Amino acid sequence: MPINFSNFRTMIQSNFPTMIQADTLPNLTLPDFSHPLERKRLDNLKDSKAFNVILNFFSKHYANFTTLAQIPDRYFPVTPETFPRLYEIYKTACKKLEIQKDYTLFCAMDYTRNAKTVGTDDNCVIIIDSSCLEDFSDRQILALLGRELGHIKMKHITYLNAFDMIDDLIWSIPLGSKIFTPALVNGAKGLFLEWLLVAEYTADRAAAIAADGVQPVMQNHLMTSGIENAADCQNYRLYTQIPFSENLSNFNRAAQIVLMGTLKTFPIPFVIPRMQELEKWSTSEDCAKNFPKVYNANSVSANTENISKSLIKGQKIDLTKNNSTLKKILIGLGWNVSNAENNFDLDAAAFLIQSNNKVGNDEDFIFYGNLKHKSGAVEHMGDNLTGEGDGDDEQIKIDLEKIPANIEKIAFTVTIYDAERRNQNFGKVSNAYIRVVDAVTQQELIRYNLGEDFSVETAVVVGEIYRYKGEWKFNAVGSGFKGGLEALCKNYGIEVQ
Amino acid sequence: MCVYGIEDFQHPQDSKLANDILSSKTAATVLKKFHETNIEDAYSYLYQSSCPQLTEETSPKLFKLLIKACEMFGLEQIPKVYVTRDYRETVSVCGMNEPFVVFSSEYLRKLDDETLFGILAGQVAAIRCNHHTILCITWGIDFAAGFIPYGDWATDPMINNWKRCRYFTYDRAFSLATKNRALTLRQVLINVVPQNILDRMKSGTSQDAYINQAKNFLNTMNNNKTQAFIKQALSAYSYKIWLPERYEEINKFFDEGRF
Amino acid sequence: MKRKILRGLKVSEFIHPKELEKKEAALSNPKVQEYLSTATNLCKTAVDPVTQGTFVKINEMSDPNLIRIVREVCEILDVSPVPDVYICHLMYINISPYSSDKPYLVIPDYVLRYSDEDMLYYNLGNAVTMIKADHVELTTLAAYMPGGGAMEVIKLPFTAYLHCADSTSDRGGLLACQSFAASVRNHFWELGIPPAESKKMFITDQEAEIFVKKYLAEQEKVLNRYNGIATKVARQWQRMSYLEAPANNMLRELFNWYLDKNGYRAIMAAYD
Repeated sequence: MPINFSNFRTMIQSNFPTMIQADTLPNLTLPDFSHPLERKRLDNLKDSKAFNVILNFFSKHYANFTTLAQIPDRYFPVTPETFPRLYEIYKTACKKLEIQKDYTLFCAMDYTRNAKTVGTDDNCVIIIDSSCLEDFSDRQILALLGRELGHIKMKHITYLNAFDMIDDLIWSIPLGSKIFTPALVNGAKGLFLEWLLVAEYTADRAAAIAADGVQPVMQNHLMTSGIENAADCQNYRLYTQIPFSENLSNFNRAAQIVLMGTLKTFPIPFVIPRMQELEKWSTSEDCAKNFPKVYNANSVSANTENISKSLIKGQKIDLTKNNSTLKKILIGLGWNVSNAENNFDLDAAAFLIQSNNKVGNDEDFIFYGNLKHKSGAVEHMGDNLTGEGDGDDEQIKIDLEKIPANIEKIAFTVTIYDAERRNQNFGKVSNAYIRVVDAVTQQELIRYNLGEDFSVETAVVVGEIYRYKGEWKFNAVGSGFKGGLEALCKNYGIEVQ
Repeated sequence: MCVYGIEDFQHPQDSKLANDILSSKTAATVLKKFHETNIEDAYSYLYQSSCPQLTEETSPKLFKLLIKACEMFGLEQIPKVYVTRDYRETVSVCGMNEPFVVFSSEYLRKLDDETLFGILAGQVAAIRCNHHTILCITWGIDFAAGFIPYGDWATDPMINNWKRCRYFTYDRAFSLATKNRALTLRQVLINVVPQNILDRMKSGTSQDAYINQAKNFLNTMNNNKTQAFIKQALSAYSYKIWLPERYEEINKFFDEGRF
Repeated sequence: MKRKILRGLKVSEFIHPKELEKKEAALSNPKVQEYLSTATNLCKTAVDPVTQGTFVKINEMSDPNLIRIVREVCEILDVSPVPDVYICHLMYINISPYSSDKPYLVIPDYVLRYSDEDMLYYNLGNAVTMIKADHVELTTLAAYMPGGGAMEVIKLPFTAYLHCADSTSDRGGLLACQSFAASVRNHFWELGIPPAESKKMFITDQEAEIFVKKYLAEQEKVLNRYNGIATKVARQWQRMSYLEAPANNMLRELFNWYLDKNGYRAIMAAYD
């Protein structure tokens, strides 16, 4: 990178100690969701001359052309043409956070289940890593992007990126290693750490606002930090029971240096206090008043276990008989592939069945190749979960009122793609479940966990809804087939070529 | 239940190198620094606040096995267990005054119950042998050496050799816990080879698919001076684990007829 | 999927047009040749303990399917003998050929976990082509070359050659798997789209062709948004100096060769 030595003094004199847009509050029409300590800690940071110089150097000479130079070359840009589903999720997050400007979103190959924003506040891009696309639901991705957009909205980006590169930057600045003594730098780093934590609290709130609830944010945090499955993250409160004080100034300078040096070892530093802080905010009066959706979703999820009925195989239960307001439901299907090293590809589907236990025609088979029934009654979301349900691998929306009169039941199935050739079966699939969620209130009504009774089967009818005396009921079926999707189709009267 | 003492499972090389590290002046300096400042608290705080804890409520099966391992290896205080997401790492003990165990989630998901029990036994053995203290000291030395130009060149060989040898101790504890040679050999490769392939490798049987590679490697190191020198150089500056050495040590341990 | 055997296939039939010229430019300096000769032997010796001591060799018993695919790829590309196969634990999506007394392949376990079979043919084909086209020594060497300062400029001819060599290997990968869709899925994986996701974007070769054309046009538009002078200069330097060519450019190269009437289709037609 070219450095013009003769201009360096002029640059320092003319810009020191100005921070880029440091004194301007972000333009909010959305109620303020920033953490109350953020402003104060930022002011402390601004008082650090060392950090001011580093930040200005970064902004003027580094950020815009080194990191942004390579990203468009080496990562996948997300546009309405290249990746419409992800683009739509991103735009939803922008809308929720009232962000007008289009910041380019890229995908990059990585294992971290994380996202980051690089550049400066005015010129930055968001990068989401490929493992999020593999393991997160759409709602979780919405939350993740919401977090990054929260950082952008609150003008954190320049600080975050400068901090990431702080050691490199010192070496890049002429005589930097002489000017910036360890005491100066570590002092700045300590102040930065204190600000960083509350900046992340703010970003977590943005994530919850984007996703209309804290559940996906908590799931993201836990899954990024080592809890492998979304299902295990359902009851995130199990992991946040031990209180943590986030007052890092309790540690002396040496200890703070150690903290700074080791932060990057962890996928999400201080994840537990972050989750605790988010929970506290989501149940506060401030949240209730300004972000009722987040507040209400939190109350619902806290009581979910008491309301949802857990079924056993063969059990049948009323859906609409004692719940006449139930018009739209969401069927959520989930599973874990335990100890599997090969690429398991599981697909959910729905069969709209008539009284003869067969479909009327091929269009009554809803799957990844036919996502929506012509009546509008059934829509397969693929992995497209914008705002409803948590932890499901696939979801199917049902509008009970639109189901054609000749349809007596809808069966929900899961099959293993190409099972025979890959030598795969449901014996290697565990924790499979189906749940029924009220699509309006997002309340889980029913859950059926299939257990591990399968061995050689390659297709499973997980559950079904059926008419009974003018009402809808749910049947926990849990029955397996050999022969995969083909066998299922034949069973329901679809000719497979 | 049989309760094992340190002499039953600590490998002699681990014991020697651990003593060398603990009795060195550098270690004394680092330990003194840790006590004077609250670095150890900061270090533990960072782990405990940044890694989800696996408790009896969230992971009952793991906890049951951990309690059994603690009983078997004479550890009174049940250590806490945390998990973090890291593709490369497996499991380790951390902390000083109150040691705890940190699993990589990627590694944990590969372990069936019996293997998990053996791995937990290894970590309990690590705590009994004070590995958590040594790891803290080595971490402190590494951290400090980073501030001195080429500082790590002096300290790395000693530390890396110990980091390698401690696995011999874990494997011994695994062996004692499970009394299963095939399983003990199998777990050496569990983080390298996908499950379905590992099942077909038939570790510990007459059709063991890895044993020839292990033997060839050891023979080469004994007979080829150039290769041996390169291995020595690589051993000094990385804590790469030589899988054939672990294989050999496990077989020797079982052949000693302690069971 | 039934694949054609390309018996008698020569590298010259699909080599990148500038590869040989770049190789000559990289090796023209006698001092460089001397360094190469010493360093190559050192690399070969140094890499062996790591392979034998930390990777695990796979044979027909431990993974018959994988060995079958390796053999088939070698048969398709007319490469003999079939290289040995090792597995390592690494979060990396490319299969690497190594050089010793005889070349061998090292497959990261991450590849086996997420690739489908077609993708594996491509990835293995890419690696086997590196052996066939004599890339292995120079690529290994370049990876171990020291960096920084003047070395960055000295390395430039090597990186220019490596980029062409990578393009040749990509072509070999496509010839081995004979599925443009699977080839593209590998490239998209490197770009950040996991295989399960790219399968939703396209399935057949025809769909892949349409999608890639659209994608590259969009990518170009996005690139042009970040085209300030300083950014352009930095990007140009990175393109020249990084060992790996930009993934989007590699995809573009492969796509152009796939479409070229004298490219992939001509070779497949010639081997009827």
